[in-house]
Amino acid sequence: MATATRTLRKPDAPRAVGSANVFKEMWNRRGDYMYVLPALIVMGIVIFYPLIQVIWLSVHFTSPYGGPQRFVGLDNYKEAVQDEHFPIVIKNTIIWTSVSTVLALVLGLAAAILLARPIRFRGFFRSVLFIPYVIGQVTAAFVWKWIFHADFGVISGLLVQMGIIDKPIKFIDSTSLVLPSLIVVNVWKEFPFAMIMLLAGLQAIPEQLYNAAKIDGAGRWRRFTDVTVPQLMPVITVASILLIIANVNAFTIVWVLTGGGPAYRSQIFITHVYSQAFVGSPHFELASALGVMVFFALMIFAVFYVRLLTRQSRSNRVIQDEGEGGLMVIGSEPGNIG
Amino acid sequence: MAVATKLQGTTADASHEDLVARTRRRRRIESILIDKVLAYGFLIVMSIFALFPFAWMFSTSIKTPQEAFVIPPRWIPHHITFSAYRVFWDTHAANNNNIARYFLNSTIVSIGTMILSVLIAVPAAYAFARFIFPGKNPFFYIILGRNMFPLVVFLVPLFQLMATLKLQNNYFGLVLAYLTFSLPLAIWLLKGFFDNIPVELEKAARIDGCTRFGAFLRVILPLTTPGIVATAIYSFIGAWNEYIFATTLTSDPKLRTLPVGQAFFLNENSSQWAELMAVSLVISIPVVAFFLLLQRYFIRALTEGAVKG
Repeated sequence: MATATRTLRKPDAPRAVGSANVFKEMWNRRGDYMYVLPALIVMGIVIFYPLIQVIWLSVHFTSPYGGPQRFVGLDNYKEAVQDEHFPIVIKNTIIWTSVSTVLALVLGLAAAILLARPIRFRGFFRSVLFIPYVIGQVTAAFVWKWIFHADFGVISGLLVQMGIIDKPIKFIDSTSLVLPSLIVVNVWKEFPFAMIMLLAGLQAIPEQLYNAAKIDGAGRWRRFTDVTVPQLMPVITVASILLIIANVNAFTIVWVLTGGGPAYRSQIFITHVYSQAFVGSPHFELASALGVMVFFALMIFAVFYVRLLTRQSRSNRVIQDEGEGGLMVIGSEPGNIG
Repeated sequence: MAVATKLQGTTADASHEDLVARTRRRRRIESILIDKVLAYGFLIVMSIFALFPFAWMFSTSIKTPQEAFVIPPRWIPHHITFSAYRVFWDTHAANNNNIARYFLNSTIVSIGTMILSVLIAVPAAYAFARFIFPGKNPFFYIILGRNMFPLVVFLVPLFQLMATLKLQNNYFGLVLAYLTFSLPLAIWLLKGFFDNIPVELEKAARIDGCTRFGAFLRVILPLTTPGIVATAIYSFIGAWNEYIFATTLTSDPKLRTLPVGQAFFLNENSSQWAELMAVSLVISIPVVAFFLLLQRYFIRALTEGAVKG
């Protein structure tokens, strides 16, 4: 944390000022604080307080049935990590996050490349492909639950009708297919995000670069690998970070479709945290310990992302705007919008 | 290419013309193949992938309960009925789910979140865009960072906080919880819009005798109206779709929001898929409509930024 803040502040650290000067400066600028005061108060209640509280909870023993709490150091962390299901949860989270992120990027890039050129019905395709992203997570989860239904699912039904299989596939009721099925739903839901970001990135590549490459005799493929990819790299990086964070934070799709089952085969980190706290006897202390863990794990990505944004905004306006778009869309951090 | 250049150096004979023509033709066919057939083919397949769940949603919603469970499944039902849509006014048809009430709850909470987020975020975002004050950067990094962290981390403390403040099963409690994600996002979005407005405008207003706050109110705010509307709609949709807070912080059926209510169409005794799909479809409509409008706005903003850069 300390190092994180230090590195974050570095680019801005303007002048060496004594603490007295800071207070004087703050007093002189008291008018400015009136603008941020309401935000500061609300964020104090709903963000700072919960953050401190969750850390406090994670180092105290709390009985599910009430009673006194006492300090136990890192015991809760130890207990959470030694949970018999912890390894499979980690494994599922890694598969879920990496496969979803790569597939969403690949599909999004393909769509973006096609939509970046002046083709007919471009606006129409862009809107259509964007729709899965905006609907509610719960709605998405339920329609796919129905599509994957073990007896009356439409995909199985079609395949049976065509004679490809003879009995319905149990997509989300099978221990081997459940995670891949959920990843399909997740990719369906989030590839439009990658598409929109990459599309904006593609449109920011100067046409002259392509013309120059053409004059030098570069064919389609060479223009793609030598112009498009390197020019797009910053946007790809930002999109990847945002997708990774969103996927690690994913909850609703998995929770509504399978609740983590069958036999923990689709339990990912966040659904696991939620189960600890709100399913069966409430283990707030274990949930808090796990929450703090994922918080710090993601902070690595967050710091990386913030540095990228601030660095880019310094050197290049174009990218900053893209970054903005990105965060804006992430706002939907799957749990929230979309 | 090299061959063609070499030939050009020699006499332009018939075989050269022929070669050039052939190369051109090949290029044209190649480009038609890639540009048209592959591009449209891929886009159409992607569009089907993106849309078929909605088609299936609609198809199921106009089926009778019997026909929803027919093997093989039918895309076009033999008996088309809209009776599943009764759930919006007939609680009896909806497993005693008061969908109309959930609709009201979702609307109240979403509008509340929207208004509070925008009211609080507008001055804060303006300060972040324009002023330099001690503590500005750390505060802003926290705003940025909040969007990165799982809501679940906030869930347990908020759950306890709402219990302490007696704000469980309460509209305001839910709105307050939604500000966890809505407010930082709104500040971040709005700051971007304020950044795009030239500082000279305020300077001019100040010279004309406006106070600093007056310049903000009378000059800057009107110019940012589209951005504020976009942010407001974004906050609304975020709250409208939210599930995890709503399901944890409300236990009273009277306070259920739509995403929470959707789950109650399925239980051990009955699975009302037609009704569930009808509700899912209807509650997606405002979201999709809003977003199609917004999408154009955001994409324009992005491309404009690119041109300016």
